[in-house]
Amino acid sequence: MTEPDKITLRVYSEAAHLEHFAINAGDQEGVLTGTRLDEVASLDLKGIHFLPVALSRANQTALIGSECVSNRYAARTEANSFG
Amino acid sequence: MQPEQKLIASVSLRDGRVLEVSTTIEAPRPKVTLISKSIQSPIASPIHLENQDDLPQDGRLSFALKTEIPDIFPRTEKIEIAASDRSFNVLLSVSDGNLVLQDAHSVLAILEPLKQFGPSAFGPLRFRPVASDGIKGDWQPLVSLVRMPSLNEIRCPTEPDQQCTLEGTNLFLIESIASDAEFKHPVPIPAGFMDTNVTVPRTDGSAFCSSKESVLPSLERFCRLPSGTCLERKCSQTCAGGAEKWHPAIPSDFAEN
Repeated sequence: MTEPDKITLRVYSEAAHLEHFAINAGDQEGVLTGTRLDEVASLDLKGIHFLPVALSRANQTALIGSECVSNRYAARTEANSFG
Repeated sequence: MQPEQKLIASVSLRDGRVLEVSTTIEAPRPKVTLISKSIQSPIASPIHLENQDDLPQDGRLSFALKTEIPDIFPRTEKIEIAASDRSFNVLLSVSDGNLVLQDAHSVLAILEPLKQFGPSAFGPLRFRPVASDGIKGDWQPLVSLVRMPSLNEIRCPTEPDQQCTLEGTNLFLIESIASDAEFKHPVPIPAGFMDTNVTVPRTDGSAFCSSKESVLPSLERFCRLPSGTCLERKCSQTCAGGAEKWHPAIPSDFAEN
């Protein structure tokens, strides 16, 4: 009897659906719109690295800030509301 | 990055996947700088607030702002003033007359809290610019709005072992009264106190009261109730007759205290 082949699969959760990212010129934080935004780890735009700082599930938006903004939020709250 | 620019950002998910998202660079948000501020307290009030950032509810605040973004202050831009918990707010505007352009770059703002917020408003206030298209600038701290009781006089009997009586209105705003600034022997004012007089500790010329609003950031705040003809703590007054009657009196240099 032939042994069945074993195939290793990696199962992903439903991917975040990203609609739009908007940021005002000169700002260090912007708003990302979409669903399952809790899955977002980081965002890169023109060489600038942004991290999540706050999530609004009702409005399906996430506040995304540059690294220094993110660190400031993290220092202000013990637990980042995104996690 | 320039306004109206359309870009693509790459988003990394926690599981390692990378997605792309369309990005819009929007116009810069308005930004103003607080140049100066001035609090005009009601002249008739005998209460001296220790914190220079305390705005009496029936007082008036004037403050000057300089625009940084855009370069010229637009006549349609408004200044929003609100409680830190956003429980009340007001928008000042050139058209309403409570924003007055000093020149093309700076504006004088005038706030009359009792008129604009009503009698129940108190606590820290902050402000931000609001552009005509609704884009808002960052919040900045402004002052702390404080409600104060109206204090008329302190009457003390000639017998040294008897306590005095403080007469006034809105005494429920007082948390406790003491004859010393350290509040070693405070007399608490119960919640919902509606009388117009209250028994207070014997005083040699001044009484101290802590405000209920002192639960807000300025824990050191206390108001000083002057009596006699001066505001100094050591001032004492003796009167002929059955009882001393101390009238609050405002010295000419009160505003500088």
